[in-house]
Amino acid sequence: MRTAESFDGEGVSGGEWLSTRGAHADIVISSRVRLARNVRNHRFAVKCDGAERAEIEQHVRFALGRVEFDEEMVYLDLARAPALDGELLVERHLISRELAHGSGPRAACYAPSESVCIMVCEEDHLRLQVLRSGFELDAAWSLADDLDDRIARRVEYAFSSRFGYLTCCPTNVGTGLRASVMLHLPALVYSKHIEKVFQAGSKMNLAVRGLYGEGTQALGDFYQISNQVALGLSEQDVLERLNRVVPQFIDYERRLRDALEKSDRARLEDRIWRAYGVLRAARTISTEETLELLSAIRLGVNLGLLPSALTIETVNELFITSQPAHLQRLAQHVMEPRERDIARADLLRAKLGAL
Amino acid sequence: MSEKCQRCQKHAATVHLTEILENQERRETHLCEQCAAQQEGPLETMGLLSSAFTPATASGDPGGLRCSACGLGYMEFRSRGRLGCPHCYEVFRSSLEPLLEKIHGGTQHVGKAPDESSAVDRSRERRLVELRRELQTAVREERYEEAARLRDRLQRCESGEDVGGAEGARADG
Ligand SMILES: [Zn+2]
Ligand SMILES: [Zn+2]
Repeated sequence: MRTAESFDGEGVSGGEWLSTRGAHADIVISSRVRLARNVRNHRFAVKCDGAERAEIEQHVRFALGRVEFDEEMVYLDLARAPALDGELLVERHLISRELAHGSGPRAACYAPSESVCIMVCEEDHLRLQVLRSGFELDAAWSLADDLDDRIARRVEYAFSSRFGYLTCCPTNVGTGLRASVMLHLPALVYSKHIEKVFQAGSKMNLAVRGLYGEGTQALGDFYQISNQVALGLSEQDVLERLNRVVPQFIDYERRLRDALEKSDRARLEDRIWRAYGVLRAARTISTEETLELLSAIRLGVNLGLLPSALTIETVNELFITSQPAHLQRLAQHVMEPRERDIARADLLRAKLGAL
Repeated sequence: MSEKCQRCQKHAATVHLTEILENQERRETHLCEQCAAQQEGPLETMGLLSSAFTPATASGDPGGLRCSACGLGYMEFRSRGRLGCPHCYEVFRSSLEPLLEKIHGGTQHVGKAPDESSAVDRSRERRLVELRRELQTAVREERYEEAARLRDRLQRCESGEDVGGAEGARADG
C-alpha cells in the first residue's frame, strides 16, 4: 500500500468499471457491492472526539497496509489532500460526498483500477466497495466477501450474533450490505414507462432512484436499484432478489428500444443525431444539457446509429470527465460555473469532434 | 433547479427521488447532492425514524435512557437516527427492535459472521430465528400454552450468549 496526499490518477479518463467488459453493459453501467463495518470497542465516527478518530484512522491504515490486495492500494489521506481531489473521487463514484466534505482524519483507500475502494472514517469506520462494469453483482460480491475476510483478520469488527455487523445507522445493521446496479434506461423514459420500474422495485422492497435530477425522469436516464433490507436476509438472498428483478428491467428496456426503432425510427434518429450535433458543436454547455445529450448518443451508439469510431467507453467516460472537478483538474485551476460550461464544451468537441 | 433541499434547506435540490408507497401513493423527495449522499439508505427511514419509535410513554420509558459507553441519549438517537457505539444496540434494544422490524422486516441477523467462532454460532442463530418465528405463529394462532413453552426455550437459547448477543459490541471492554 502506498500513502498519498493527492489523487494522482490522470483525472481525464475513468476507472475500469466504465469499460464495457461486463454483462449487459449496454444497459447496466455498473454493479456495486458495499459493506459497512466498524472497529470493535470504539465509538462510531459521529460520536468520536478528534483523538479517538485519529486513533481509529491510524489503526485502520496500519491494518489495511498489512492486508494482501490484488493490486497495490493507494491510501489517500483526505484530511491532507486538496478539496478538489476529494471532489474528483466523488465524481468517479469512488467515495461519498459526505466523506469528501467531512472533517478530521479520514481516507480513501483505493485500487488504481478503481474497482475497489475502502472509505475510512465515513459514517462507519470502514466502508468497503467493489465496483464492476456491467451486470456482475455476483462477481462484485465474491470479491467483496473475500476482501472483507482478509480485512477481518487484521481488524476486529463490531458484531453481534443477534444484530450482525453493528453500524452507525440502523438501516445498515445486519449484513451491512448494500448491493446496487446502475442502469441506463433511455427507452423506458422516452416511452414513458419508467414509472413501472419504480412500482416493480417497491413491490420487491428495492429502492429505485435517479442518479441525477428530475424525479422519475432522471437526467441522463440513469437509475440505481438497490436493496433496502440488511437485517434478516442473507447476502445471498439480497443478491438473488436483485438478480431476479434486474434482468426484467434489462429485458423491458431492450424490447422498448426495438419498438422505438420500428415504430418511431425517424424521431429516434433525429433525437440522437441532434444530440450528437450539439455535443460536437457547442461552445458553452451546462452539466444538465450534457447529461441529457450524452444519454441520447449513448443510446445511439448501442443501436448502431452513430459512427462506429464512437464507443460506449468514450461516452461512459464523458459522463464522469465533463463534471466540474474533472474539468478543473484538466484545466489545472479553479473555474467559475460559466467558465466551466465553456471548458465542458471544449472537452466534448475535442472528444467527439475528431471522430 | 432553484428548489431548495428538503433536508438542509440550504443548497439547491438536484436529486429528486420518487417512491411508490404501499398504498400506491407517490412520495417525492428533493435533496441536494450532499444530503442525498448521506441518504444512501432507504428513503423511508427518514419518515420512519420519527414515527416508528416506541413512544416515550411506553413501558420502561426509554426517554431517560443513556448509553454508558458513548453517552448518547435516547432523544438524540431519536432525532438523529444514528447510534453512537456498538453498545448502544444493547442500551436502546427495546426501542430499536420495533424500528428494525419496520425497516428490515426482521431483527435477527442472518448471513456472514466475521470469524470461525461466530460461524459456529450460526447454527444457534438459525435456531433462534426458528424459535422466534414459531413463537410468533403460536401467539398469532392463540396457542398460548405452546407460546409459553417456546418463550422458555427461546430464553434458554438466548441466555447462552452473555449480554444477549452483543459480544463483539461492548465498548467498555
Ligand atoms: Zn441538503
Ligand atoms: Zn453508545
